[in-house]
Amino acid sequence: MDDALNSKRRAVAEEAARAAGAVHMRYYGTGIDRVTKAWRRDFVTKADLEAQAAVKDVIAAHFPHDLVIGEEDEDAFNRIAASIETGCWVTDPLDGTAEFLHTGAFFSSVVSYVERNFPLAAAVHAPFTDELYSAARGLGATLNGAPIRTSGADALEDAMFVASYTAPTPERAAWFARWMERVMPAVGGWRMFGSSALCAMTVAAGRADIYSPAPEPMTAQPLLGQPQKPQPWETPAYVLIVEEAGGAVANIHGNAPELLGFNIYSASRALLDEYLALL
Amino acid sequence: MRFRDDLELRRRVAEEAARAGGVVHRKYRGKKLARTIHDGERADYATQVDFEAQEAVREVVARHFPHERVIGEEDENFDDIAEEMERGCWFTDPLDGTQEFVHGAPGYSCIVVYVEHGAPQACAAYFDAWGEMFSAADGLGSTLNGAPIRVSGQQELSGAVFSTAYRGTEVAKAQGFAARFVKLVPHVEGFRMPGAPSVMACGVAAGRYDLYVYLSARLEPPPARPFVGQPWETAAFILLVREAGGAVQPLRGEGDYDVLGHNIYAASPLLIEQFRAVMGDM
Repeated sequence: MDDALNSKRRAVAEEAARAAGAVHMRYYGTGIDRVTKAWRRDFVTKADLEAQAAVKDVIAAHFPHDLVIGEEDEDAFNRIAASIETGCWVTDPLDGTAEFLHTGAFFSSVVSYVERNFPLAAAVHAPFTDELYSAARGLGATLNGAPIRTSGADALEDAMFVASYTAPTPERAAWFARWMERVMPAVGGWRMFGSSALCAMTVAAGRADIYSPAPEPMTAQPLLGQPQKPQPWETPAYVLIVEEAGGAVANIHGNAPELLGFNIYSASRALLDEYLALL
Repeated sequence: MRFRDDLELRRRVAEEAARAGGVVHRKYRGKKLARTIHDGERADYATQVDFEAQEAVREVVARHFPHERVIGEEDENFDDIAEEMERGCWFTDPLDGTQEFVHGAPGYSCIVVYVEHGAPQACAAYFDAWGEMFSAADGLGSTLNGAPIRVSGQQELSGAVFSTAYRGTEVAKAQGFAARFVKLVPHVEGFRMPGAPSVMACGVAAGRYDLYVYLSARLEPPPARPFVGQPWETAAFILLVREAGGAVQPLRGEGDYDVLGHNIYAASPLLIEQFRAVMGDM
């Protein structure tokens, strides 16, 4: 592992995430247009597109030969899947677009570098609250430069549980509700934020104890299925930052995290296992 | 309606008292705290910070209005609350968002509000970790850190960001909440549960959320209390949202709002209409 190189990648990820955040704030509250993507509540704005260009500019200035793939690129999922072994940068230039359009506080930019299917450096910037999270493999996680640790919580009944929800259909809502009914009475608190990055970063910073995605209808094991569509432009950053903050990350079967799938982010392995046992 | 100068003074006192509560918050932030459980519900508790912040609020109010009563969430006797609200009294929720606070999350505030003739007159909610001071006075508008704020003005439920909160460990209550979630969620653009009630109410006032309603509001008062709601926060939320141009309606029953019960807080009256059409009686 090349610590010096990963440190540099982390600094570049931070700079790129900040550049994207500057684009967000230029458009924040200006009432810009949205373009609907696959379904009504999935949309892109020129803030997404310009933020992605800003991320690419910063990375190109430092690593001109590296590949950068963003959520707004054509065929982003398959291109990332084909490149995480050889090495690439991935970015969600504006996570929480709805939160951003509704002048909420919780939206962010996400940048990371992945090689051999392993995240090596990452940054998440929430410009409204001016919070910059980052990590490099083996070198720890920080918030605005200060080291962060997960809470270490290991009891589900007192845990602050974070969920995210973007289901467009009544059928999905019903499955989500079944999961809620099971988990809500078993935990200490239940929160749903408008940005998955914020969900993961609150766990990294020790402000919440566990973040799990919602389950999905079409599966043999209803409460453990593959939820929604994977977001590989953001997942590597969450995995790295939570792990480097001392947390435990696993896929929904309790195995190693999946960069192309879904994971549970927890303050401790004991808490993660207790949650999986509940399901 | 009170004189403008008096309202301005009370708003400033509410701000000063809420900030004093914030000083106590800062002193204890990140420290391990013992909990006092409310009504045997393990997810509902107070800490030393709640009690100490309540005292800090009382000191500030007493300095300016030595003969006026300050009623806090952590008090025990609420028998004459209606008379007090008629005659004029202060309310405080010294730490709204105790759960966030003990988990080291930033979304907590100190709320202070003055009520007279049964109506909120002046209030403040201070979020120390974010440095955000919301305040309002009757007829004088709502502000965030001194600058006027407005609700989003959203008119369509299908484009609205809905916010709510849930607390409890009973399976039946969770099932009720989940059933309402299923009913509502196809009709809104966003569904958020950000934490403390003041985050949602101030969020509606500042245009960050379009609607704030409890989906599992109590029907019966808790033991030893003559009302179902949380007047120490509700009175402030009503004023903050109305003065920011928003709409407030009692969740149940008649009247413009219900200081002692639950309310719907919205960016516009149309949103409340559409919400009720979808959800029916709650």
